[in-house]
Amino acid sequence: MPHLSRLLILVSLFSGSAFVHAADPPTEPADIIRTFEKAWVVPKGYMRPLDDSGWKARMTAFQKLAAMGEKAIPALTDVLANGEPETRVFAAQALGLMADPTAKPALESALKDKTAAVRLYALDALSMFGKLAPTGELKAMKEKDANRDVKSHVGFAQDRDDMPDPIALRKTLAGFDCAKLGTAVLGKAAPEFELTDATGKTYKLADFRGKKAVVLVFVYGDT
Amino acid sequence: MRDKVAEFEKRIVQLFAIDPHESHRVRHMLRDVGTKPDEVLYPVLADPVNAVSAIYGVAFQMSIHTEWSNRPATFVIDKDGVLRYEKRGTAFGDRPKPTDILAEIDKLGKGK
Repeated sequence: MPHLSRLLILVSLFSGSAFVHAADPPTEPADIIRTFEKAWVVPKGYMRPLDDSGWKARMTAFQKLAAMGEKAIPALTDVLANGEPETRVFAAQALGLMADPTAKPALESALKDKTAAVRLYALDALSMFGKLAPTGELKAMKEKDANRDVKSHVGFAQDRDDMPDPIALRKTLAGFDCAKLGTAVLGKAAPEFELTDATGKTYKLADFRGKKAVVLVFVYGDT
Repeated sequence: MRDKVAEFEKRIVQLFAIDPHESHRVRHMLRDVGTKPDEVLYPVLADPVNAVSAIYGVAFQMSIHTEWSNRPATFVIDKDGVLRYEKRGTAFGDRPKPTDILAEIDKLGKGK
């Protein structure tokens, strides 16, 4: 009997874990968005605290949604139209990073959103399909939008001097390894990177190994 | 910064700015300040999906110009690829002065 009871325990353990797996539904895009909403707290000031982890939730959600691809678009367009303000901002930014043409009508509607950041990211997202042609609506936005940054982004979207490559952008994001989030640590090897400058020249940190010290200055477009 | 670039060059240091936007935005910004992309004093790298900003732990931490942008931050990496200095700003414009960065580079010592 002791053998049998042991066997029973083993069987129940295995069936238990199998049950948990079977009951564990596959992650849906809406779940990823909800996880982001819970983790993303808007700070009182304009800076997130140094120990904030909301930014990690934002990047992780972007990566997961990009990895899902077009399956994630309906959930994003839904919250873009119906979500809370911060979720609508998140959705507009995500749709710009994913640049799926099926999201275009929802992004065009989002140009009328009452939250400025939604309008701004919707403009960026729409410019991922090519620079925006002048329309009466855009002209009015550029001249009269209540937010001066939105006005600037109409200009960015209309003046872009390149052919956007949304597939490459989405691939970069989908391939991002979230285990590397926040892994620059003093005294340790600096995380590798490879980025392109404004002339199209690519630089890798590894290329300077043994040759030069490197200074990285993170800026935000206006410095 | 401009007049300090020669000081960085003297110390055999590679300077990079990293901007969390697509490269057309970087060119737009340079046009706005009247600089041609091939005439910049140091390369301005485009980080369009914020991947490098996220790896360095600075992405989406400052609300500025109606965007969630990276926190102002500066890192010094020595010749062996080791991170030797970091400044993660806690306010707009909370950055080390060029002379502070030069002092950090001088601390790395010869051969670094």
